[in-house]
Amino acid sequence: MMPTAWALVSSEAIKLRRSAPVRLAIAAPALLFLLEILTMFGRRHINLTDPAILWRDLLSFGWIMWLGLFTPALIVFEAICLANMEHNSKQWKQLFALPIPRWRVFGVKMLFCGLLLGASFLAFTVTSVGGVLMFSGARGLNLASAIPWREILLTAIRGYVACWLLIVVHTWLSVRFPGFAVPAGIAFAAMLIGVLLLGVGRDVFGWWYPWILPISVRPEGLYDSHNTLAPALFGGFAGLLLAPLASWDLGRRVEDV
Amino acid sequence: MEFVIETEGLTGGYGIKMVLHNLSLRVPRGSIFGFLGPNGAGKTTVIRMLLGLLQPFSGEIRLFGRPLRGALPKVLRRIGSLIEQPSLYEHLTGRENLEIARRLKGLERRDADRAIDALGVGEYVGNQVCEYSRGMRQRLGVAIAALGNPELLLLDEPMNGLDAGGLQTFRTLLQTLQQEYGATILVSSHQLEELDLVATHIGIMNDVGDLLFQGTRQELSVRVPQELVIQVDRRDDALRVLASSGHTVDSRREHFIIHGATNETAREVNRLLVENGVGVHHLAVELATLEALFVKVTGTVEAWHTK
Repeated sequence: MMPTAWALVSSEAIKLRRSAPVRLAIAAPALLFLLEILTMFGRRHINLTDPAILWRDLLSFGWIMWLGLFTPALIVFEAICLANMEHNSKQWKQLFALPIPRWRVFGVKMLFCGLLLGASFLAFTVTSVGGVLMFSGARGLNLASAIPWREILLTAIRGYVACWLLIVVHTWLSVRFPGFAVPAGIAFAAMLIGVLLLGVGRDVFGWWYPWILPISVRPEGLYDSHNTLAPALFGGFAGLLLAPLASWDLGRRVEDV
Repeated sequence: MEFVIETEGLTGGYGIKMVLHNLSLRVPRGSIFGFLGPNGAGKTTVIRMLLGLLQPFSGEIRLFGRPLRGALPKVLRRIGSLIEQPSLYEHLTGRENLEIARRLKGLERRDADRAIDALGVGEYVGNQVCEYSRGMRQRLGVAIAALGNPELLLLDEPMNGLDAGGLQTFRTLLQTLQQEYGATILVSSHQLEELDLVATHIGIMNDVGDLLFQGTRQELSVRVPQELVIQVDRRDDALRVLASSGHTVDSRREHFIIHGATNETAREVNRLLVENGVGVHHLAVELATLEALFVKVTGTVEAWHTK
């Protein structure tokens, strides 16, 4: 079992060379880093009294954008690009003519969507802290000694785990429906509903809606004691449970792809 | 005789569209089986079914003597395939494409090097596939299918887009795989002349998915009478002699033809002409070409030439 799994993983890694999914994984956190810098340097009022509050204040924009907008969109694009590598070159038939269980082929697609998102999460976490340090250096603030690593990493890890339900759903959609229009259309309609739900208030509808799970790990601010673990666990476990079902469904629909 | 591929009463198609009707195909071990048929006959459908990519409506498939159902995906370890046009990752190099296939087939690095040498793709294997011509893609596709010298090679239109050099390399590869490694090769193709040079066995389907013939190349030749081609110095005398001895002669500008001739006919005609003082310049029993045999068996020329 192991050699086949390794063969699939290493083959998928080769496919990523010079590919759109890798460019996306780099571009998304880089774009948000630029936006974050522009926003920070555009600020007029800075609360210097408490470094912890200042950190929360400065990181807030980036994390809200990352978890609320960039992450769901990035998952959609990554899943579409990864699936289209096979759709565009009509690779499914060639892949399934190889001695590999089909469910593993789909499993590896989900895994790589998750790994690329993980790399982007890591890049964003580091660059968001770097952005604040650049800002503090430019403004003569001494924030380097008070980096709230624990809270930042908790948010990052919980946000990442919460994304797994979306990773599975979007990989499923992207493999099932070739091209960009259908999977992206469904995704952005779902995201729009998520924005409306957030507008009405999570107290009314809860945090369970898959497309608001990532932002739900950060309900008010970086350090709030609100239960941010539940959305992460829900997203993670739901993704884990759904992945075998998605792989089975895609395997039996092979004639369609 | 041992059969690597056996299908029994295979019926199937796509959705509600029936393509195959009760197909019973037998491909002997170690043969190069030329699989012929007009467009839409169901050749690709058969190959997809043999690879487990398409479920038959009914019937049974046996590969290497065992039912395909239940043997997937392990049995695919013994099979190399090229289905329709080669499926290649455009953004990767030829070597990277080969490397992916090599890893997924669980083969060693030297197997990829061998395939590169055998198909003569070493010159451009380092370039991205998006820069490849159709022929280069086809060669790479065949190289991927032939990776690791599989026991059974299923090739669907592998000669499309190959130039003269490519065709020769391809023929050599098939013969090497068959003769040195004992591989069984099923090739569907429209290029009958090329197939005629390598195929040991032939299967012919008609345009509604029926198998009209399967057997050796010689058995197929028997289906169509051979022609005796004669060139002489005194045409009128020769015509008179042959007519008086009961032969029906098809007179052409340069030669005569006696249809349905055998070697015995040739001996008799030669004796008659010589005894009657007619000088014989050329006398030969000619085998029908594969194209002629195909047309004879399917009974349709149009279907073939609409491709």
